[in-house]
Amino acid sequence: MRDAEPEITTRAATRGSQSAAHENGLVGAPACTADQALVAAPPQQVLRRIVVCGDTHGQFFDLANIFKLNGLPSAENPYLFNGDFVDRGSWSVEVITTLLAFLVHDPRCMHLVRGNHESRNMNKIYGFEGEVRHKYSEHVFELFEELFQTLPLGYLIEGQSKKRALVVHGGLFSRDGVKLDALLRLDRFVEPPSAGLLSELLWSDPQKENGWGMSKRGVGVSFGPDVTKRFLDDNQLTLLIRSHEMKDDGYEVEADGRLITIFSAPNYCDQMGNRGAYVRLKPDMEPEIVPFDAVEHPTDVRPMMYASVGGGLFGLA
Amino acid sequence: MGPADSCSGDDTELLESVLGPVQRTCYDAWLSKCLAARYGYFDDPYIAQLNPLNGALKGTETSWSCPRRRSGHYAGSNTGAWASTTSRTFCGTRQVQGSHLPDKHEDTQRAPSLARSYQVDPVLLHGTYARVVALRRIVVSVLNMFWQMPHERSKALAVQVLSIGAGMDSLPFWLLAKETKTWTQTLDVGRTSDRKQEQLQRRQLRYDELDMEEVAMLKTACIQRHEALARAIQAPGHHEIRASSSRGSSPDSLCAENMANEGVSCVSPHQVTREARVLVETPVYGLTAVDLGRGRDAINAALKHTRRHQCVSGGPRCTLILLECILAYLSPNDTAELFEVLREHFCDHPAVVVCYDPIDLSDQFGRHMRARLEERGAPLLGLNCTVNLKQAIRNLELLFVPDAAPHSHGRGLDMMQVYKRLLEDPSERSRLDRILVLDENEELALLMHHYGLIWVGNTHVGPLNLLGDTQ
Repeated sequence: MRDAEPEITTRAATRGSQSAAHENGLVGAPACTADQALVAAPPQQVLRRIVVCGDTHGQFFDLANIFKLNGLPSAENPYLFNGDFVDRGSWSVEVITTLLAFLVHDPRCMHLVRGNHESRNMNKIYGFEGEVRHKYSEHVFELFEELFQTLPLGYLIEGQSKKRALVVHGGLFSRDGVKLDALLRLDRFVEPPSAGLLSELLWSDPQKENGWGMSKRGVGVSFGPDVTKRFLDDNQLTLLIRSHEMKDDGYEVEADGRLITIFSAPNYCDQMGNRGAYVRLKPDMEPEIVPFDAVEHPTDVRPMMYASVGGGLFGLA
Repeated sequence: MGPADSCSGDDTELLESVLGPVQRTCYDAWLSKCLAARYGYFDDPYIAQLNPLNGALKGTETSWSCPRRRSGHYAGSNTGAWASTTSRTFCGTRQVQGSHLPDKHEDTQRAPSLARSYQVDPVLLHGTYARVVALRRIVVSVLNMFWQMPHERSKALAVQVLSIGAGMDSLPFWLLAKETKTWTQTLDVGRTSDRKQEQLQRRQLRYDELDMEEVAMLKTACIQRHEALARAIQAPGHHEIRASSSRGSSPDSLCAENMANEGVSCVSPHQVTREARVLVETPVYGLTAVDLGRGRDAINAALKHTRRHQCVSGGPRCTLILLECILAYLSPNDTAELFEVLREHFCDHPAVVVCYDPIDLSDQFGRHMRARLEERGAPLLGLNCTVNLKQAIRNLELLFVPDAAPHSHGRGLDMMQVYKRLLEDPSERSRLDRILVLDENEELALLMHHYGLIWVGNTHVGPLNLLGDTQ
């Protein structure tokens, strides 16, 4: 019986996801051309479970390890990657094309959210442009930038008892009263601006103190646990899952369990010595967090190899 | 498998033929400072002209000319303006034989890496910003302190900055030009009180740099090529360079023969001694080539020469010694010898030594960094490389003031603390944010905690609180 089988549904929180689930809960694709449908309007889905991963930042060998630990992506074992697939790590091309390959192979097995590094300005500085130009061409780089603009800004995951989680890369906003509707109406086919809802979605960080504070990054805002709770309650959400910040254990739970930061790039930049982690969600919507360690990778490729000027520049000699 | 454009490969190959691996770090330092200046992290009108590659390339005169001019785009025929004694390039800047090209031409010709200005690690930019700005502030603070020290009115107070292993640093030009400007401005004000005028008249600043011969030669070549550099250090006859360009005079007017002709009394720049050789000499600036690895005799000889000016005046002296990323590459023995010589020369008057070096490299990050530098042939040998900040301060304190009680003369900060101090000013913070977004701070913090800025005053100075409260 269908009711006996617990289910969770996902819906990309993005303008253009117009599909309505059929009564039996199967996937319904919107009426548009095939290639647009894959990304512009991901189908609403009903799933047994989903694994949410955070930043991967070009660390291909660690990505492969995630699939080894938790299984390859498939319709029964779908993944959601919460942005920042590229830059910093020097296998960014391999990471993003792997994720895209799964997406094209079966849109039910792979979901991608846009991070602040899925943008031209960041890619120019943090290595992705250099890497694409080296491995392919400027034209291919332009194609990636076009693709990044189509990525959803977030996902809604709904489980039993109307428990809903919102997954966005950065965080929340510099004011109260923001509704999901407003996010749905954002024009995402842009280079992220330096202020406004879209930039805050991609750049903000939670803070320990209530209220708001200046972002340590110069873009976005710092928002306190009270802001988180008000936003979630206002929008009938149980949980916010976000990434964007490295954590020593790969994750951090804040705001009395209503905010999870998940970060999946262990030993970040070959230096930080942190663990990575991912979140397993089942229909009961109790998050199960799984940390994991870095694996080895070829040493002749170092982080930001395609970004640093001068090649030999290391530190502040 | 490396980056597609081997710009860095080209640069490295060229420098490899001229400089040893430790000396080559002057290029890294120069590049990061040049880029940070270009991005606007600080003002530096001189750094771009100090490109060591310019010095390394030995081309004919025509190879220095504006590329557009060479390729015939230069519209030479139709106006009288082109017929003036000073020629103009297509881009409209005045070109003087042997003088510098506009930056953008220079960049695309000589340092392709600079042209690809989008590929820069913002962490390094911020780190370089902190280093340059902090050092400037420290130097200015210490010099101000020196000038305010009580001394006999009748005698001029001779203040010297001595930079050892200076590389392609632009600080002398920046500082000396600033001094000249301050003095000129005071004169311009007109009615200055006699006392203030007198004080300023007494204010003499001399900047001496020491470095390995190969590096010092590159710097000399840059000074010879660029009028702005020569002007900043009051090279005699720099006006003559400009005015006489149409007569095709040699750009080498800084060599001793020419200077002697201009009536500046100085020692001939040929071998002062076997170990030290003066390459540039002006009333306010000196550049001496010396091999720091050749022990105390070499350094002694070089220092004796730089003191010559002060000995002549016979008045009170103060000295600020700069060691910017030098001790890191010197073995503990060499360091001890160096400080022995410094003590001998500077113990009888107020002196402060300021050191910037990597520290605390015993963790994973540090091992990684040390391995990389070893691969490059520039291993970190310094006695402070693997100790924490407190110990590093203590080590330098004992080297400069052997019987000092702990923390009586030495102070220091790690560069993350320095960076945070600099950014306490919110307008500075937002200024930096507007230039290039720093994605997150963890990487910067990791890097910067492994660099220390340490200063020690000798017994005539006592403890110094620079950059705010320090530990």
